[in-house]
Amino acid sequence: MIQTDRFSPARTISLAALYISENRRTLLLRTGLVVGALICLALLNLPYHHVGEWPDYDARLDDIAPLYYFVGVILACVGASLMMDDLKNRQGRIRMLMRPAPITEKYIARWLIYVVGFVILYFLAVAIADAVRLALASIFFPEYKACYIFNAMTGDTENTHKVLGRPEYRTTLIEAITAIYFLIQSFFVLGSTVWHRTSFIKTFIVFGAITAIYFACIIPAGDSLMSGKIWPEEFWIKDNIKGVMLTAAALATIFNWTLGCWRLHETDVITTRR
Amino acid sequence: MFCGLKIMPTFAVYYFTITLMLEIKNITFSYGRRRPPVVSDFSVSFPAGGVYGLLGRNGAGKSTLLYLAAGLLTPQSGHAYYNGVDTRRRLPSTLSDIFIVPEEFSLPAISLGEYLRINSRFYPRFSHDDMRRNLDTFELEPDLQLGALSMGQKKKAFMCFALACNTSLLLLDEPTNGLDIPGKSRFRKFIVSSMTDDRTVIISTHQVRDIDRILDHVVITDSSHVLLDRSTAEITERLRFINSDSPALAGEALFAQPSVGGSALILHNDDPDNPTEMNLESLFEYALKNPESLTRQFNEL
Repeated sequence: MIQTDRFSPARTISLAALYISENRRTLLLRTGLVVGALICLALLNLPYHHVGEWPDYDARLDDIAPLYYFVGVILACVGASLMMDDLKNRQGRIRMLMRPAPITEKYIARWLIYVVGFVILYFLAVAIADAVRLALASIFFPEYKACYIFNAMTGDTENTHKVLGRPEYRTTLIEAITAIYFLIQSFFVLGSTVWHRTSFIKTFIVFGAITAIYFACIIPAGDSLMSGKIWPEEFWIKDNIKGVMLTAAALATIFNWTLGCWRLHETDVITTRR
Repeated sequence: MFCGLKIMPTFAVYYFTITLMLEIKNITFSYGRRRPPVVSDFSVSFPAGGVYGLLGRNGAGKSTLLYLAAGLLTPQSGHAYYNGVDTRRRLPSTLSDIFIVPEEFSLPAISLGEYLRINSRFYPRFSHDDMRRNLDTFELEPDLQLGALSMGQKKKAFMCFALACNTSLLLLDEPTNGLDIPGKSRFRKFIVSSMTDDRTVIISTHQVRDIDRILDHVVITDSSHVLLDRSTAEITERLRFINSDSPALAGEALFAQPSVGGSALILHNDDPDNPTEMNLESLFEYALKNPESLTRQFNEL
């Protein structure tokens, strides 16, 4: 076994494997809940009518594609807030802190599971849920040409436009969705290292309040100081502004992840008020 | 006087050849800015090798001290060093050589085999043979399901793992709590059989009768002082522990404590070649009630 005090990728993978093994039941249950929730969503969006103009168009994708995105963000945030769930009691903290590995590796191991692993799991869950939707649609609405969501992601049909946006905005949309997804989730990753109990609610309230204050005070103030030029027309399609926003989101995301790791370094077995 | 001179060279050799394994230096710790410190400017050292009993009143900070020693708490001031390295840095090389068995702990609901497979890789000196031997000592089967065990069985299984990791420093907080009567005697056998020259075991407990026979060293503390820090050999050379109802002996005693069928007495030992069996309960009471008198016994040559 690696005994180095420096960062070891092999040990990080071992820590991730250890976490999965020790929490297999909980993780399986959570996976089941994600798949179950998505199947319920898919069933609620079973096809019920054709759109006459486009016979191959699956009209239900109008509703279900944004739902998959939205639910994905919500579940990613809930999952991220459970990242340090086992630190809510002293026994869990002792178990985690006494494991012979650097805190950074312990953090990255969980980050791999809850951030990277969740994305993979969620794609699989969407694949299963949409396959169920298609199977039931073929039984109950045989005349309806339902489109599998992953098939809609290729080509340039009306279905593709509903899932990935119009071609001229597609790259921007995908980049924006990815950046916003990781940014929002990173707040909950940070929140889980600060509050080990009811982390989701606390993070939601605190960061929700900070965001609300920001939009309520800072932007109008900045807008008035800059004589209304803070909102340039169609700013979201201008490359330079897009680049700035994406860079800012990426930096904020990395900052949150780093801060979470640093906060974990400061974790003690007994919470003290200093 | 003569006896003191006779044992002096032994002490001198002892104190100049020991290597300090764990050194707690001027540590102050409190559970809140406005709360009084649990441990205040506290210093104690544990040389390598031996079984140490860490005794103190409730709230004297014994568990806190173990957590500080393991680097699980951040002191307001002071440091805990393990082989010269600050334990609060929580370096893998330090953590893989220290194992703490807390009073309360949780084990995942998986099989013991799987627990060993995924955890043993973090401890370079883990021995499967030792694990089997430890399980045999506690009469546990190797195919246990950890989630289905009672608290006492979990403790036994966890202690088997702790000892099989072969860490140089083993910290045990109230290890006999939750163990049944045979379990307690097996625990003693278990600790004694696993001792090596370079292994240090620190046991913090109130159940002194469970461990008094296996201790090599006794450390009695309050929150800021070490009241007694002596080997059991030194203690029994200097002090005589007897049970008697004789008023004359009670008059001579350094400390007397009423007990069943008389009093537990601590007297000055005039015959170090014939030591008595240490009564840890009485010694503990003596240290708390009259620490100056106890210190004098060991300072006299």
